[in-house]
Amino acid sequence: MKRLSVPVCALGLVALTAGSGGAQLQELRVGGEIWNRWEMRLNGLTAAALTNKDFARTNFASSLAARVVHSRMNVERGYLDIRPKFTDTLSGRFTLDFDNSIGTANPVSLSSPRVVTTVSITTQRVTVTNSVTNWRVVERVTISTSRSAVSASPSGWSRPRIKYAYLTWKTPVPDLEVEAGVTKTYFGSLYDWEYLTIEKDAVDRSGKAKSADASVALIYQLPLGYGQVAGQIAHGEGYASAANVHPAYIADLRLIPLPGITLGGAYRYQYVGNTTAPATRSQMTNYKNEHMYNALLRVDYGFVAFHLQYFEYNISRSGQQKDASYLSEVFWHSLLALRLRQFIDQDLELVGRVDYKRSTDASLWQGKPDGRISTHVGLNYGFAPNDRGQPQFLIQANWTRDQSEVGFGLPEAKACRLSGWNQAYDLFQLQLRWRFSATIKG
Amino acid sequence: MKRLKTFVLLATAMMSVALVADVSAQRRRGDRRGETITMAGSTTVLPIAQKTAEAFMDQNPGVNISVRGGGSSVGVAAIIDGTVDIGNSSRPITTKELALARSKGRFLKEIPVARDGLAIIVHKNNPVENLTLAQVRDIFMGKINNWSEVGGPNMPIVVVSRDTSSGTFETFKEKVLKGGKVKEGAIMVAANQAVLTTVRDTPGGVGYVGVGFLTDDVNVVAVNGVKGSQESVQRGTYPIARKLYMYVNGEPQGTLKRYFDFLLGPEGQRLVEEVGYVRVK
Repeated sequence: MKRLSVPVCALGLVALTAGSGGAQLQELRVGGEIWNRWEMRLNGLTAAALTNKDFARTNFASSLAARVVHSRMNVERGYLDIRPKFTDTLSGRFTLDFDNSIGTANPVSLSSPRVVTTVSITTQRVTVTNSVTNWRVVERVTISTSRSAVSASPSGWSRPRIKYAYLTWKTPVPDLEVEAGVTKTYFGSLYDWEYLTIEKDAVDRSGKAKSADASVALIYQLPLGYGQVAGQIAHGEGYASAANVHPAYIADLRLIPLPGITLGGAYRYQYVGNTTAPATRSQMTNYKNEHMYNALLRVDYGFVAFHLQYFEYNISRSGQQKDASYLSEVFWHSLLALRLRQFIDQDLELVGRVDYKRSTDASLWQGKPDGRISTHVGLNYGFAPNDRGQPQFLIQANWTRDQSEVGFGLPEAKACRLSGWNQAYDLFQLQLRWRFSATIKG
Repeated sequence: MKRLKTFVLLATAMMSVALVADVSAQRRRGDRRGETITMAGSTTVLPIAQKTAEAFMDQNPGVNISVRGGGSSVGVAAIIDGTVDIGNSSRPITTKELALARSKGRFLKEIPVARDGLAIIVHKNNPVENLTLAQVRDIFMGKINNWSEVGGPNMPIVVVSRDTSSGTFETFKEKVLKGGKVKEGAIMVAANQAVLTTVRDTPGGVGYVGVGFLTDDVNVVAVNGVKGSQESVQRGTYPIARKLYMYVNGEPQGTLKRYFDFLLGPEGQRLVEEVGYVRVK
């Protein structure tokens, strides 16, 4: 097994069954998903090209080659998903997310020695009966680590991270569930984004809210399938960071007034305390209350799916009577997917997406608008469906164009001159996602 | 604001196109796939689906019906995703699944197609006539091990159960065991007939069979005062019973409608009884 380098402490997971009356493992579902990706990024025009009056007549190929930032293949993500079902009302989910240094901007330094933590995962089926308590251990999955110092290595790293680790309890109140642990974040599209494009969900992409967090969540299904309400108290910084001692409070509402039409609204509040200087969240003085708002509309009917989402992030000053927001960011997201399965009997989708990030007040005041518009065009092809009819293999091809909102729609040279440092870039991506799962009955 | 207007106009235009296109696509799909029906889901419903599909295809040579199992959750997920025409399920759809279906524009229609009831049977010489549901659970889980504990003779109880992969066991687990496990040392058999034979030949034996398989070789024990029979299951008074469902998207039309007319008609319901279940009507 390949050695893994991890930054976390030792983990352990044990499944117990009782001889009688206690929680038993009714079922265990084990699955995984791998994302193999090729990606090429082309940066926008260079300063030299901008100043070259004859730029349009320069050699296109050499210009193109000079703009390539990277062209790489990578295992972008790997998920190992374990879902035990203890009883009819108690189940769990444990998902490991494997990533690696290839996709990061700053891989580990080659000169510094490192402490390497080795992770091993073993499964063992044992039956031990205790005659006093009549408890039996019948299944054991152990994840253990050991640490050792090694000298600098020229290779990068890969690591597992906890994506989800929570229990779900179906309460005696019909359609009310409680989740506790490292759960999904029930805010906007964070918890049900289906990756119709390779790019992640708009809220996740903004970096303002994490898609998973240590939390306790209450989720209630509205009667007759009219939607869902969720309330959550979360750590607020993602499971890995302890930067803020104040929790985040989240409320999310989904309404489905008609089949195919979904309306959503969400609000998140967190007290972030004093910081030192403006312009970023971690550099603001006397800015204390972080607010996030989300509204979404989804229309899914026939062969068309359309999504529209608005997301606002701001930090307000305490003690101010009006115009309390200083740092405010606004995001718009729209997506259109055309499912061609109805016409050609192949699981083929065409997807178009536009994300718009409005320039922040701070950037405008500084004369350096930082608004961005990204356009994504893609194609999804699924094949080899499983017993649920979902494709086990999915090929995705995407082209992304990301550029400053200043001068949007203008020829690139002029747009870049107007936007200055916010040059455009193009991203070409080809991805193969494959998944597998097996259910072991207790 | 201008960009927002553009988005809204674009959305409205696309939805209009989608509505028109979907209607015509459905019509085309009906023409192209009108002779093909696919279904998947519950292993409990599987025998009903297979038996009625075969009979329907015999009477309608141009029709092809493909049936596969996978479990109730698989069947419901498949009909929500639109990858099958019928999703078979031995349980009602949950509110969460219904919301998911609605969010994907599905108008799921629930069609009960049969009832499933399990009678508790004992040896012909066993005088026990009635057990509570809790006692049945305790017997099969090994908490009660002698017939004298439930008013019978001083004789060890021999538990006979179906193997865990069967739909019959699935019903028993849901209605009786409720998360518990059958005791160690129980005799596990593969078919209803095997349960009958084993209990018939074992003085201390107790087992469960579909009410459609009952014979006079064994005694039927009442549960909570009600004996398992086709009549009590159909009346809804017997506690170890449930409905079996098929889910479709919208009102069945064309070949699909003809199949359901057949399944819910006299001949289809007779086939339901033939595979050991109870008529829904």
